[in-house]
Amino acid sequence: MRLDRLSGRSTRLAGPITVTIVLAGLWLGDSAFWIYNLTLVGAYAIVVIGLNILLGYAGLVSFAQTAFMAVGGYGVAILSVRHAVDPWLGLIAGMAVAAVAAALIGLALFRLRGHYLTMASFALAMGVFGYATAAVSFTGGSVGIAGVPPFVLGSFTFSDPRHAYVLVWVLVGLCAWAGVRARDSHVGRAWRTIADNENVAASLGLPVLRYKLIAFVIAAVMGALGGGLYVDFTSYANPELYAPAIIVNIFLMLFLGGRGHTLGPIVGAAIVVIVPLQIAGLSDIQAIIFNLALLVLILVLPGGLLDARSWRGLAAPLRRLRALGGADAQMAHTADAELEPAALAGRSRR
Amino acid sequence: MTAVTQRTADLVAAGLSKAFGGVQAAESVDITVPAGEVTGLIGPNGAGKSTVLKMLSGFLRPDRGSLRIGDVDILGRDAAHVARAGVVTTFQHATPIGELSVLDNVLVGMTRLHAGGVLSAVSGLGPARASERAQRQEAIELLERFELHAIAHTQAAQLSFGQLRMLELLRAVAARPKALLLDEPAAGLNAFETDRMAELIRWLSRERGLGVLLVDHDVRFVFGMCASITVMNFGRVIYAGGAADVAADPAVREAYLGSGTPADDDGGQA
Amino acid sequence: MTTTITLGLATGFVYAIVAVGYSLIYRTTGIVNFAQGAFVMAGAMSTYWLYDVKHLPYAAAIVGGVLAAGVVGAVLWGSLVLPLWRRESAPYVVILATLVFGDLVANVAGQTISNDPQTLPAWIDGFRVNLSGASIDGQYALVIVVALASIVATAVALARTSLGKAMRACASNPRTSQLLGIAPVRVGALAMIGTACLAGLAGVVYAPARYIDYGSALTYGIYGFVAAIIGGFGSLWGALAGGVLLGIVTALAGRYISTDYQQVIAFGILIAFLVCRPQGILGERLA
Repeated sequence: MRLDRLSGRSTRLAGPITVTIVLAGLWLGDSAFWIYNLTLVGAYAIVVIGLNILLGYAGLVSFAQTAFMAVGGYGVAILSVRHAVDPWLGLIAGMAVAAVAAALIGLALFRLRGHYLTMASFALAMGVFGYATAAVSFTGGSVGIAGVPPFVLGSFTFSDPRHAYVLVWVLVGLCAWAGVRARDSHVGRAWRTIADNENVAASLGLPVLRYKLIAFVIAAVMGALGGGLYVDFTSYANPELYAPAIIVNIFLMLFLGGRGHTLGPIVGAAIVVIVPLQIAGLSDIQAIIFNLALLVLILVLPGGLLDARSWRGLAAPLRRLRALGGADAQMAHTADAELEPAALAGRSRR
Repeated sequence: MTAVTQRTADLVAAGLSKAFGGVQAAESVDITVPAGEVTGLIGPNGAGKSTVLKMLSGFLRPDRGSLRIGDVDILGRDAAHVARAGVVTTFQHATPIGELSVLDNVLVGMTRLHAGGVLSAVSGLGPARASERAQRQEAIELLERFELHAIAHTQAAQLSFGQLRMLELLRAVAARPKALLLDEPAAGLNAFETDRMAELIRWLSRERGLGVLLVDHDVRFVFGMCASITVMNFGRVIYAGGAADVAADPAVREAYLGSGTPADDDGGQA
Repeated sequence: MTTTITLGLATGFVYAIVAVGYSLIYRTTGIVNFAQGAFVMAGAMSTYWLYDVKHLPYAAAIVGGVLAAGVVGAVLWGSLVLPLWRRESAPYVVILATLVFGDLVANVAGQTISNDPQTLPAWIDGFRVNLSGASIDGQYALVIVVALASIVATAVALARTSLGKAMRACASNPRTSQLLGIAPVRVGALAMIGTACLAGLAGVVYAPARYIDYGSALTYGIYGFVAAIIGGFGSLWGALAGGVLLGIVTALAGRYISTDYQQVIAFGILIAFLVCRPQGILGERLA
C-alpha cells in the first residue's frame, strides 16, 4: 500500500522538483560551495537511483554499487588521461564495461539467496576497493589519477561548475524518469512479483534470473554513470571514492531517503553529502554525531524520510504513552513478549 | 469478450515417484488432466497430494516417471519452464502482490507474453507500448468476466479473502495456461463465493477448453465439479475413475474412515 | 617462511574468534553483525587506556578490556539489535545498523582513547619460541593458545550447559525453542555479549604482538566476516578453519606477492567460496 500511494505522489512531483533544483542552481550560481556540493549530490543520486531499482523495486540487497562507480570513474580517468580519449567516450566505455560485468557477475551471484547475496555483493565492493588501491600500474594506487579533463559539448565546457551542475541534474532527472517508467512497465511488475515471492513469479512462467539480471545491469550502468560523472567533475580518481565508508554511505542514502520512493535517492544523497558539511564546525565529534543521528533515524524512521507510514509509526508510541496508565503499560509489555515466537519464526524463514 | 483462440492440451503424468529420505511420499502415481475437463485429486492429509502437485508444477523434481503436456516433455523442468509450457499452478494461500493494484496483478500473469524488453518499455519505442495496451484490454475483459472490474484499481492488499482467491485464479488464467492446477481453490470461501468459484472453473474448462486439476480435501466441492477423480492414500493412487462410483469404493471408504467419511470432511484449512 | 606462517596462524585465530561471533549470532538471531570487529578493537583499546593512561595493574586492565568489549556488545544488543529484531526489520536494515554502530564505536575510541596505533606489553617478558631455527615472539604462541582455548570452551559450553543447548535449539528452530520455554531474547543477548567478550579477549592478547588502532574495528570485522563465510557461516569449527586458512593465505600473500593485494586475494577467495561452495568448508551447522 505504501509503495503505490506514496511513490505515486513523489513520481508526479519528481519532474517539477528536478526542474526546480536545476533552476535553483542558476540562482545559487554565485555560491561555488553550493553548486559544487549539489553537483556531487547529483552524481551520488544517480548511483542511488540505480540501487533503488535493484532494492526498492526488485528486492535485491546489493552493496556492490561502489564497484560499478569505480568502473565508471576509472573508465573516464584512465581512458582520458592516459589514452587521450574524449571523456564522454570514456564514460560510455565505463558504462558498457559495467553492464557486461554486471551481467556476468550477476549470473554467478544470483545463484545465492538472501544473506549470501548481500555478503557477496559486499565482498565484491571491498575487493574492487582493494584492487583499486593495490593495482598501482593500472589505477595509480592510492595516489590515484589526477587531471581528468572536463566534458565538452559544443561550446559548453563542463569545467564551469554551473554547467556541470545543470548537466548532472538533467541526468538525475532522466535516470529518475527511466526508473519510474521501468517500475510501471511489465518489467517493473515482474520485479515486484519477484521481490514479493519468487515462487509465484516462477509459477507464472517469469524468467526470474533474467529479470534480476536486468535490474542488476541497470543499477550497474547508473552506478558507472554516477561514478564517471563524479570523477570528471572533481577531475580526480582515487580509491577513497570507493572505500568502505562510501559502500555504507551509498546504502544509507537510499535507506534514509526511503527505498521504493522516486525521490528517496535524491533526498538521501543530499542528506549524506550535505549534513556532514554543515556540522563540520564541530570538527572532532562530527563523525560521532553523524553516526548517532543515523542510528536514531534507522530506529525511528525505518522506512526512510519520505515514508509516511514511518512517520505515523513515530506518532503511535506517543499516543500509546498518553493513553496508557501504569497497569496497562504492564499488560502491553506482556503482549509484546507473546508476539515474539511469530516474529522469530518469520525471521528464520528469510 | 474478444475471441481468444486458446490451444489446449492434455497433461499426462505416469509413474511419478518421489521419496524424502526413507519416506516414499509418492509411488508410481498416474494421473491425466484432459483438456476441457475438471479432474479431482483428493485424499486424506498426508496422502501425497501436494507432493504430486509440486511434481506436476515443476516445484519438485520427481525421482522417476514421465510428465507431458500435449507433445511437450516437461519432466524435471523447473516451475517457470513448466508454466511456459502451459501448466500454471495456483497456491493454497492466495498470493497476489499486495502493493500492486488488482489490474496490475492480472498483468503480472501476462508478463511472459509481453512483447518488448525493458528499453522498449522505458522509451515507449518498439513493441512494448502496443503490447501493454493489448494486455490491459485483455486484462480488463478478464476482470469483467470475473466480476472484479469494479475494483480493478484497488490495491490487492485491501481485498477480502474471497476476492483474493478469485484474483489468484484470474492471474493464473491470464498466463494463458493449457492446463490449470488449483490447490484448494475453495478453501475458506463462504457458500456464495464457493458457488462463484465453481461456476468460473466450469466456464474455464467448458468455454476455454482448459484442463483443470482440483487438488482438495473438500470432497463435496470436488464431487460436484469433476467428471473423474483420483484418490490417493499413503503416497499411492487407490482409486481412479468416475466421480459417481468413488464414494462406494471400499478402498476409498477405508482411507477416509480415519479422518471422517468423505461426505463429512469439509476440508477446513490444514 | 616459519615466521610468516606463525604470524598468519596467530592472525588467523583472531579472525576465527570474530568468525565464531558472526556464526553464533547469525545462528541464534538470524542477523549478520558487522560490528563484530569493533569488539576486538574495543577490548584492546580499553586495555591500553586502563593500563597506559589509568595505570591499573596489567592483569586488571586485561580483565577490564574484555569486560568493556562485553559492555559494547550489550549496548549494541539493547539499543539497536533487539528493537530492530522485535519489529521484524528487514535483515539488511540490521546489517546497516551494525555497520554504522561499528563505525560509531571506532570513532568514539579514536576520539576518547587514542587516534594513533597503540601496542601493549607482552604477557610474558622475553618469551620467545624456537621453531625450526626461527625465533618467534612468544606472544604469537599465546594468541594461538588463548584463541584455541576460547573456541574449545565455547564449543564445550554449547554442548554441555543448558544455556548452550538453548542456544542450539534457537539456532535450529526458534519457534520450537520458544515452546520449550527458552527465551530467544535472552539467548540472543548472551550470544552477543559472550562473543563480544571473546572478541575483546582476542584483541587484548593480539595487541602486544602487533598493534591496534581504532581503524582495526573495520579490518577485523571484514576479515572475520570473510573467515565466517569460508567456514560456512554457522559452524564453530568451520569458523576456525576459515580464520586459519584466511590468516595464513593473507600472510603468505603479503610476504611473497605484495601486502597491497592481501585484501583483493581475501575477497577473491571469499567470492570463489560463495559461488562454488556457499555452504563453506565444513557445511552449515552449529557446533
